[in-house]
Amino acid sequence: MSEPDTPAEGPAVGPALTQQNTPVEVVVIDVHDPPIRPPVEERMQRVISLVLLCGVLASAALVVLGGALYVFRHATVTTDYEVFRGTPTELRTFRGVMAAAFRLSGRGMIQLGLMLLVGVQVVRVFLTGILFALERDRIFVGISGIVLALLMFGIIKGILWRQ
Amino acid sequence: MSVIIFTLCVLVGSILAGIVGALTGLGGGVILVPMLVLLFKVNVHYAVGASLMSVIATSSGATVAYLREGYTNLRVGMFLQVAAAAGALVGAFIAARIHARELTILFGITLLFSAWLSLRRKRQSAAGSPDKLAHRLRLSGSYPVSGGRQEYQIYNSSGAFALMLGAGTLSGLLGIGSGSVKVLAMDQMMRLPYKVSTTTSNFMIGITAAVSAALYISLGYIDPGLTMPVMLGVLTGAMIGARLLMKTRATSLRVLFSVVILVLAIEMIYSGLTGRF
Repeated sequence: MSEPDTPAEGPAVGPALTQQNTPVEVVVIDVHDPPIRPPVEERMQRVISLVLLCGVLASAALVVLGGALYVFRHATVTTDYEVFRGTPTELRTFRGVMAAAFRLSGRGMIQLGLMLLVGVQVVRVFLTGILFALERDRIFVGISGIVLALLMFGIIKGILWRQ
Repeated sequence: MSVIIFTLCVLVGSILAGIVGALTGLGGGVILVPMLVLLFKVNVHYAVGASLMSVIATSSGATVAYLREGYTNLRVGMFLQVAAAAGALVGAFIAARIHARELTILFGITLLFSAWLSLRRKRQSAAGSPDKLAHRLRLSGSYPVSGGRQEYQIYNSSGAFALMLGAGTLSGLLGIGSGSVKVLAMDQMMRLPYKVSTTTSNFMIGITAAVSAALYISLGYIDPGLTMPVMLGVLTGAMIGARLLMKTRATSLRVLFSVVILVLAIEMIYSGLTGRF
């Protein structure tokens, strides 16, 4: 029911003004609507991005450095990638790669950078799981856990297990 | 070839592959592996390993670029990732047992499929009711539009989950990101808005690839001397390609490169069959 549009006398305050001049926005929240994403998700996404960026940069730095060492030292050696012989055993495990990198082997450093790249993905999944925990989304903390387990299975079987 | 010449040539080739991959949205791996196998005479196992590593790098880079924009749907990504990661384990398992020759042929067939995927007209399937599973898991989300956020609904999440198993297996087996399959599942089956599909797919790819990459390292498929120029080249190329993408029309490129992929596919299958791998 609206009031008649007559100019009010004196200060124009009160329901008449509210009804006709100020638009009122009504927000209805339905319990069946999808949840509105809270700002904590945005902050965590920024953290994840930052960690990813640092990881990729660190990995690339190792690869570039190791690559430079490798190319300078073996510049004129002939390469043969046609036959599959498999990368030397030392460069297949984390232990071996750390040892090689520490004695400044070019290929060791490259391999370490590559393993770091893989490791960063683990951190990524872990942080996403934290994000879900902060949102109290238990189902997705669980789901992230499953993905993490699958990742860790691949990594442990791959580079952490004693061959 | 000497190390230095080889490294430089692979670097240049990888940059090109990265640019093409970013421009077409097909990912670098699809161009990269045939290039390494056919042009540089690299054994397909090494090629697939190097490609897989470069896929992780570009996916991480892309995620850094897109995550903060607010399009990525982490829940859909993580949910599908369960299937993709499981598939990646299966893929790596098969890769350990498959002969290089069969792998080359399989790669060629996948290229054909990939070309068909990008060329076909998009069918809008009949509208169904929103997915109950998606509702239970609260998968639906919103993406930024001018003046706020636009909500969207999710359909057919179990179908997409099943498709992800296949995508993950392909990723683990062929060293590709399977980005096109992932986007297909999200865009066509789950009816996510396009930018949400692509950014979420980018988010997932690196994790899927990491699962099989670790296994590849243990199998000796990752050679540092080869992977180094590949990873650096594709990463650089992808950054260049992403910039170029802003300025070019993607549709005409997609048709052109589908033709290129067709040619590559035939060559891969041919060399696999004749034993020249």
